[in-house]
Amino acid sequence: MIEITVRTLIISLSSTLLGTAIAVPVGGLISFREFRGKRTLMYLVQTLYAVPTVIIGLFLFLLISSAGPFGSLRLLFTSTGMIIGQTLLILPILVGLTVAALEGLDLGLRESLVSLGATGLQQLLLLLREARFALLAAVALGFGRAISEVGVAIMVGGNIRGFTRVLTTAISLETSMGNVSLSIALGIILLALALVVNFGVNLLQGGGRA
Amino acid sequence: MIRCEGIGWSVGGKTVLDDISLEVERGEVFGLIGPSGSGKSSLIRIMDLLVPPSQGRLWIDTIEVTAGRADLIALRRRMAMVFQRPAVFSSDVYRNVAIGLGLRGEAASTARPRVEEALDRVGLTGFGPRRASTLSGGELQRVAIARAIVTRPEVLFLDEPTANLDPLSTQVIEGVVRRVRSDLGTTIVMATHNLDQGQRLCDRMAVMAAGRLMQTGTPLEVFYQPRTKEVAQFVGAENLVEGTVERMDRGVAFVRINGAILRVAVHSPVGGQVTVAIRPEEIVLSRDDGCRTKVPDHLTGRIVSVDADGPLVRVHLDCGFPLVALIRRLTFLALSLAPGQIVCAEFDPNGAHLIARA
Repeated sequence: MIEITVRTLIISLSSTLLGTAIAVPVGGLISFREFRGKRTLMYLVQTLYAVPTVIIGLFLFLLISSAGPFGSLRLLFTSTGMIIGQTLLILPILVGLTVAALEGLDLGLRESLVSLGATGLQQLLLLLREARFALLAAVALGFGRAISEVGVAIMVGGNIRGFTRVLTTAISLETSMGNVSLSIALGIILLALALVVNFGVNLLQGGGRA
Repeated sequence: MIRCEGIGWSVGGKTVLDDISLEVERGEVFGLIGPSGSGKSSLIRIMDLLVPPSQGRLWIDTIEVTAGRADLIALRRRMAMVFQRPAVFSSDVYRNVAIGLGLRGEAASTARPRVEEALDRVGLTGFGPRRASTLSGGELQRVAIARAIVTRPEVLFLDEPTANLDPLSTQVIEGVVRRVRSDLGTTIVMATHNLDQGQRLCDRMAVMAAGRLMQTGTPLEVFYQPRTKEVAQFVGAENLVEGTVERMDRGVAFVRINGAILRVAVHSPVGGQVTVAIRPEEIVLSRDDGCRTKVPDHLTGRIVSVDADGPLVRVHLDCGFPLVALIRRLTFLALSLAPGQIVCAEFDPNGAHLIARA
């Protein structure tokens, strides 16, 4: 059980970190630049918030299965494959909420920075810093979606014992095998993890705002 | 220091600024005065290089910005702007003031005394550790000024710096602006819709209306020699009366208005059809029985209505055209004036001004 929990945390934290590393610059760029189709792009991103996990799983499966274009990378049924899948899954939420966090700031802040002679990069860094609490909430939400999903984990990971089995796939398997008490125990661990993450985020936000 | 030549700006097909040409001298306080929507804020944003103009040429110092290739960030760092609504970061006052220095890579050790000096200058000594979100509007605006002057800009732009503030905070901000000017010799360009503020602070001002520059001059010139009807109305010369110049004599024009011949001091020869701009406080009223002459040198009118205006009284006359006089309440009572009465209205030749009619 501990082994499954640790693996779950490693995979979900990795995908959250990777997703954040991609989403923050991309979201910053979308927020800073005015371009045609920006609104359409944001609608699309927001629609993808709710993309079913099995669709991402299927999509990735087709890409990385041995017959797919990336088959030679041998990512199917590996934790790396699961991290990629979960990253794709939460990327829309992270990008969308990064843009929302930046656009939620006082417009005058950016203008003040420009008038003080800030370069584009300096503007982005200072504004991200200013939006840090909203960003943190976005990251927590992304992590929550990553750790709780089953679709990618089962289709890309394959629920291989000791290798790609995580809390959600283990619960699903144990329940179908009739081991309900084990499922409940695993479920409690999953809930506890979510609780700890949320509590931590709230603590950080509260501490910063006081 | 700043030169605009035929600057125009339009957004979404709407012309906001039209053919603005002006020059701000180094070290002066230059006011952009005009009602809301006259384009002052847009012009000040163009001069601070926040938005590029749609037409025209702009020079900062000797560098033509509109020629392209100018290093905008380097130029912006020689200037600073205080906005109507101060935007502060959710940190302490010190960090907010120090931002400009941080952007320039200034070391923390040399930044500290400069931030403290800037806070002293705006009267916020010791405010450094306070959280910006706990300050009042007037204090925030002073933080914004400190943030702007901490980098010792050559030009300081102020966009309606007191529009959202109470009279006391306004007074404080005006004091700060005066001190920045006298201590640092900074060139200041300020936009304001408040004429009195423009008069108090500015060496020269440009009156704007509907995106056009109506007149540039010292406050005195703008107040007493408005060049167009719009400016005259804006600076409070609310009586605009049509007349014809009969003759000129040593700096005085004799103007025929409604059968009367009135004298108006002029600075340059005028003739023909004119508009006489008369400030209401320059008009003197007297009872009609005292002033009967053959060719009247005064206006005669019937009192239409009377409004209280603090210690003054605003008397609306019908002289064949509407005329407003602003007189002291005690004078009003001493003359025992009332609506319906016929009175004489006179004014000092220097209290009126002629505008050539196009």
